[in-house]
Amino acid sequence: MENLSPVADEELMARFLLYNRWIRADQSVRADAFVPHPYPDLSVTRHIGLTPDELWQLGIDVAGARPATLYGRADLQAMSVRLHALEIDPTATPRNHANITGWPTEKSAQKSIAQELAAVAIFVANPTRKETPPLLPRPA
Amino acid sequence: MKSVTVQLPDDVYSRAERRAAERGATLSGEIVALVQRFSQEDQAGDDMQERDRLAAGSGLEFALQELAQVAQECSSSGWDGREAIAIKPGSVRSASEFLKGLPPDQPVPTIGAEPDGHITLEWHQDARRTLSISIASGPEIHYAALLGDRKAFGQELFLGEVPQLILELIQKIYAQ
Repeated sequence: MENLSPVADEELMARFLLYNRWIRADQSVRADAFVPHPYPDLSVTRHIGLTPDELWQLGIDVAGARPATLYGRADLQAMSVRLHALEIDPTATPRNHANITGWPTEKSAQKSIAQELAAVAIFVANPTRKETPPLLPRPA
Repeated sequence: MKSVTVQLPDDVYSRAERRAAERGATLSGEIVALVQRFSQEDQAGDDMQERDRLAAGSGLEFALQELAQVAQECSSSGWDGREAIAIKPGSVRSASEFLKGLPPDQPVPTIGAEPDGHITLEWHQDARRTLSISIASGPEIHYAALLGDRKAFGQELFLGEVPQLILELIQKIYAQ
């Protein structure tokens, strides 16, 4: 089922994480995960209209097609993407897919935006994978 | 009971956190392993200067080991589960030279990779105190930093000496 409706500012989008080094020990996400490639698009999945299980299944499908391991996802609100003059373009397939477009051409400018997105992204671990042990707070 | 003095690098706690997360081990276990490791290195040196050199050198050793792991993991295209470009041996050499060029008293970065085939070195304190540089096989390095409510990004050349601007950004990331 395709969802080509415009993306509302408050909508959540998931960036599925298939490389474990993009997840820091403190469960935050490295900017590396948001560098657009193949340029100029960054692939995300809209949460809208999906149950949590359906959303995870889409991630599992992405990983299974490679094959790769789905470590988790980084959730972003559409508003935080548009804040950096990026656009969100829904695509007909796969289900609920969208591309984040409008990236600057210069590599360091891309990195800077990727850092801003990573700073507000919320990491959610794949619930079907064994959880990593809880981390203690860093000493002052 | 015998008391001993062990020289530990400043980032021993973050190293233990990283190792625990990567290996699925306990944080306390990794701290013990690191203390044991540095205890053994302390015994190898006869004077304080030698111990300092070993402690600082071990930080570099960790980073080089991590670089080797990343290089191996990302040696084929599609390593990110999508369309990532494979990391080239020349990029690994450049990143290795960059790490070896860091002054020994500087914090050691963690190593990662971007889907366009760049190796990344990251100095990270929190979401808004973070520096990342991207290295490929050429002399250009691309950097981006968040420094509280300010940010910096651009391009520098690495010709065997770490650019002063990068060293200053590292210091800003860890400034109190």
